[in-house]
Amino acid sequence: MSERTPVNLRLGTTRFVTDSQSHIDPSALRAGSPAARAVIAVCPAGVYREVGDRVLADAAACLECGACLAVAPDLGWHYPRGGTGVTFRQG
Amino acid sequence: MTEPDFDVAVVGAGPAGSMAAMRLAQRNLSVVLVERGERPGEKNLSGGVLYPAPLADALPDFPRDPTPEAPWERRVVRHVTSSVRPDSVTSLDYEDAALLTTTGSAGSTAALPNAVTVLRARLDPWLAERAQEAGAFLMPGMRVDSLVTEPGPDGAPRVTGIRADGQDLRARVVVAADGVNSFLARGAGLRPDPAPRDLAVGVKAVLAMPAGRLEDRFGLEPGQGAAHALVGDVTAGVAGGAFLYTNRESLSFGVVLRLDALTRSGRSAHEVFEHALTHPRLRRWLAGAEVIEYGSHLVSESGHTGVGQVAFDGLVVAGDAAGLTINSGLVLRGMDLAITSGLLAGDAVAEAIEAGDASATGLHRYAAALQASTAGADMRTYARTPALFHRPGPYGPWGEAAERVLRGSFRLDGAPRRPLRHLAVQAVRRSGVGLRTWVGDAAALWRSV
Repeated sequence: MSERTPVNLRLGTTRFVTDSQSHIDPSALRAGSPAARAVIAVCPAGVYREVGDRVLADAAACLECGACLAVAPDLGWHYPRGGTGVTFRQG
Repeated sequence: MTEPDFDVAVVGAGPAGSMAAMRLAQRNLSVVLVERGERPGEKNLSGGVLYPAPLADALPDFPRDPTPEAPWERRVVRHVTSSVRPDSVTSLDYEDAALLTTTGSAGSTAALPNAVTVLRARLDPWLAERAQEAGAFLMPGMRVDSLVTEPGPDGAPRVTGIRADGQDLRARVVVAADGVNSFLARGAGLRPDPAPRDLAVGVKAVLAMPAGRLEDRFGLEPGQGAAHALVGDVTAGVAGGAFLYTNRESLSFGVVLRLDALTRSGRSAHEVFEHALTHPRLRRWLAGAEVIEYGSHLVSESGHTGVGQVAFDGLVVAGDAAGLTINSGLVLRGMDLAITSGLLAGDAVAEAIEAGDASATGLHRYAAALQASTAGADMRTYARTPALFHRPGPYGPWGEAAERVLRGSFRLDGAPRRPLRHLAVQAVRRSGVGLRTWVGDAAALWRSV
């Protein structure tokens, strides 16, 4: 994924406090599966990508909407720890 | 049972949670308001139109004017609903001086705007301050992991507190105002997970714009605001729509995309957002405006059928966590319903505790009060609109037919004119969807609005 995609540029305007523990565990998803395609489609932050037969998650860019979990119940996903994660200054 | 740490633990300092905590503290109960952001509002995002009547009823000092301290942006005096096609826009443009004020029910609401635009980083801290002033104890920066439950007399779990950072905090009653994902009630198996077709992802940007330019572009007097709802090619035909609201010195622009339709579309949420943001028909409003924040939030689309049970043994559910949203086709509501449900939950929980019965039976008074409220009545009135929005008509065929009829009326190309009724029949025939679908759309529209 290039650093200069529109979504990455826009995410640059949003403030994040990165949790040292990832709050996303995509290890139950297989690349190319309907669930993997669904999480990639619905994530507005482009957090998910396929590498080989695995799905990887860039948890630091997560906007915490939960759309991925709604389309892939096997995904390991919860909110990042209190005080970390996305920090909306406008909302 | 050991003595509880608090009478009530409220989870989530959004509109529902803060209003519940305020009412409970006003009844001299000990209340902790737990929020996972370092400051209320940090985790919250909405399109941005609030209908403030229930809030102003509860808080007579709710600012009527957009002073620097006021937790809102602009009075909405213009509502525009548009069908966007690649080359055309067909709109219902409603502007009314009567929208400058609403009478409300308390009589003290003179000059209260009917609707205001809001940014949650300003609204939510203001609401949480009202809860703190009343005596609620705000505990920010804390993620609640789960409910603490014990088996009740009938085997069903009875909620006795919350668990955060490995610590248990005991309360007589928990108010779950933990938002659309509502991990607490779902984690305890008390409420079902919604289906993807009952959820939409909202993707939003805030774009900076000087007030004068904004007022010129949207045709507004100083301080007044507009709310645009857009459907059709703006989401590349994906079920859902787009919104464009005016703040003091910024625009809130976003798309709302139903998860099932988005997954089927072969597009990603950020591609559809990009398509909308750069749509040629929207350039007149958005050109040159710089994105200052990008975010997203889930939206419940199930309406009344998604509400279900809201009172359990030791637990009530309010706001987005209870699925309280309305999309009437013209009016999108959520925050006012959250405020009403939070106020009602606060009153009902206080009465249940005073009566010494925090069981589902004792807390049922909340469900009854919610049903009896204007919010409950409105949820029932619009119970059938989600069925209309499950049909494909609103996202393509209707706008295409409108474009054919209007183009055939306005575009004098030298050929003889055809009467409007012929244009309408031709538009339906050429629409690519069968007559049965049109009849079904008409029936669903009639039933739902």
